[in-house]
Amino acid sequence: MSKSVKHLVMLALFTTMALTIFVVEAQIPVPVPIPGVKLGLANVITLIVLVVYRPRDAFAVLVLRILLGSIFTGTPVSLLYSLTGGILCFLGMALLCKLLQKKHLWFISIVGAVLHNVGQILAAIAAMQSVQVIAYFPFLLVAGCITGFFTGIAADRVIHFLPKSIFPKPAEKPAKNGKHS
Amino acid sequence: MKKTLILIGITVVLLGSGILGSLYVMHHKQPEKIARIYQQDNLLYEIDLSTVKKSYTLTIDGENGAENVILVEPNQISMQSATCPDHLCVKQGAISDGILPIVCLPNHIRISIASDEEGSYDVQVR
Amino acid sequence: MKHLHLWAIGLAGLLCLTGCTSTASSDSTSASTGTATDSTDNSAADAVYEDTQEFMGTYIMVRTYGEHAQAGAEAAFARAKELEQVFSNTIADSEVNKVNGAAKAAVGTEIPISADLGNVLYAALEYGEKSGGMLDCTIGDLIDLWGIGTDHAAIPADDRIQALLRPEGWSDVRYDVQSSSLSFSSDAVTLNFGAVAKGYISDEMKKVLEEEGVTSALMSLGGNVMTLGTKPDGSSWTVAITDPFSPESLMGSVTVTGQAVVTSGNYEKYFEENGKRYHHILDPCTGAPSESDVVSTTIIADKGIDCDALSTATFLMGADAGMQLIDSLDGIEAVFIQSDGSVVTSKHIDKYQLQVNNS
Repeated sequence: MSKSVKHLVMLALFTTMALTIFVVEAQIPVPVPIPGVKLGLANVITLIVLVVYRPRDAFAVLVLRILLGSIFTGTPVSLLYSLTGGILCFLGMALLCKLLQKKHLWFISIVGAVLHNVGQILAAIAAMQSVQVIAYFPFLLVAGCITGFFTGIAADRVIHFLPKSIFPKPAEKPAKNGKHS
Repeated sequence: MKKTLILIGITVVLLGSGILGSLYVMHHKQPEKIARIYQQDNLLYEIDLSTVKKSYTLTIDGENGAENVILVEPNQISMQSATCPDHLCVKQGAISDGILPIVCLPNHIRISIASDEEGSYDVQVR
Repeated sequence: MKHLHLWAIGLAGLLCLTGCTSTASSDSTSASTGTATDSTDNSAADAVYEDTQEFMGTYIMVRTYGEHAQAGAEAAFARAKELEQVFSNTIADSEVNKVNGAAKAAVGTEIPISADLGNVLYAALEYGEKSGGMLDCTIGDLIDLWGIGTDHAAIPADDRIQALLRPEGWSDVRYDVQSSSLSFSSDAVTLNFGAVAKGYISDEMKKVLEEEGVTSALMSLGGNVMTLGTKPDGSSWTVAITDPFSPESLMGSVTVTGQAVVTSGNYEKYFEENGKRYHHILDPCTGAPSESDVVSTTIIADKGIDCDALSTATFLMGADAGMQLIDSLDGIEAVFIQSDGSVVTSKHIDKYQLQVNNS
């Protein structure tokens, strides 16, 4: 199997996993009645791909997961919120991945979760045309720190147990001639 | 090691400010109990909750069959039912004089207690 | 030691950030707390005085600002009560009732009237002519027959309505400006200024406020709005327009500085029988509640009496003829809502930043 095909298949698998986690998580009732608060387990996959592959791969997986996820969970209205939050989250995590080591994945994840919430609030401000929804931000900040920490730890553990035979070492990037979307 | 400590420090700052901000939002009270109900940026209703004597409901229809039923009671207001998937606005319960609005993100409905002047008016001609 | 240093920086950062968040949150609330402080502030210059009194069968609200706020408002209320004594049809010894009695008893003879009654009669006759007889201040008997807005409202027998119909009824009363007197040419005339009196009273109250040195005030005479100047901060008054299809919500708004805003709507006073709504705006041609294509007419002009008269007249004339009349008059703008929900506006309505809610 050529490297590029293998790469593509892996990304597809990761997207599927992210989507499954996303859909299952959507069925779990959130204990706190604050819009935007959730575990964000699907972000585990984004983090793994970000570390194991390249930022553009992680971005593809993320956007595909959000688009398909909103169709699968039947909530196209929340697409705007997920997309703004997701993209902002990705940008922050991709930047921090360059700056920090892998052992600080928990922190990268927290920043990602908080930025995701920032994005959602911004989208809500735009959609509602009112800055008042900012009152939710402190709650989202607390939730982001907590959920971000645990998803980060989870991603770290998963990467730790990834078979070295299939995945390149986190530090090394895939072959340059590989073609992927 | 030093880096880890800095990162822990930043996390504590984020978490701490979040907690303090949440406490502020939860404990801040408004002087007046005037509820405003918006659909996007349109002010639909303005109700002085302190003058409500008998409970009643308001039904707001939105796009694609969306429907929100708002329960207006003496001194408090809540979302009784909503067609959105998560029903968070219903679970939030009643608000009376806090600054935290009830927001139904999917249906773009917002119930807030007199805290922003936008869309507000001085007098109603009838 | 190094660690201690780090924690100190962290703690300082924490304090900074929380400082930021709390100011950001309080920003969004400052608007409402601001108004609250204004009203409790007793320093004369920023004083605000508000009072609502019930008379003329409705609620009259006056809110005044500045050092003459209270004296001005009290004088304005006194003037309004004086005028109620002139125009009320429910007060037995009001001037209108006395003049009605005297003029009916001696058809053709001139009866002297007060300047206030003269001013209103003059305006009512002027708009009677401009509206092709739709605004008719002589249909008092018809209004009493229906009794809409009272506890004895009922659909009258058709022959009783027919008996009271007088084509071009408004012309059955003559007003002589020189001698300030009127005469009826028929004993079927009963003057009723329900459609214009509140507008005139708002003009007179505004005059009193100005004489008392008030430069900023807001009044609502049972929903007829009158403004004086701007708000104390120099901004315009925002006047919300009622949604005729659900009167507890709003259709939109206009902003004004010193103008009056008056709406006539089929939702104001009415009773329902056999599923049909009988509202209070009677068509002098049919003797029944108007069935024109509009459900609400809002007029904005400098004078309350113009607004009041034209809102009733255009409601009866319908959208096309009504808007034609509005556009032929200077300094008068209008917003009509038709029974199908569509909104019709006059040529220069942009002056008042009309906002229409599209829900």
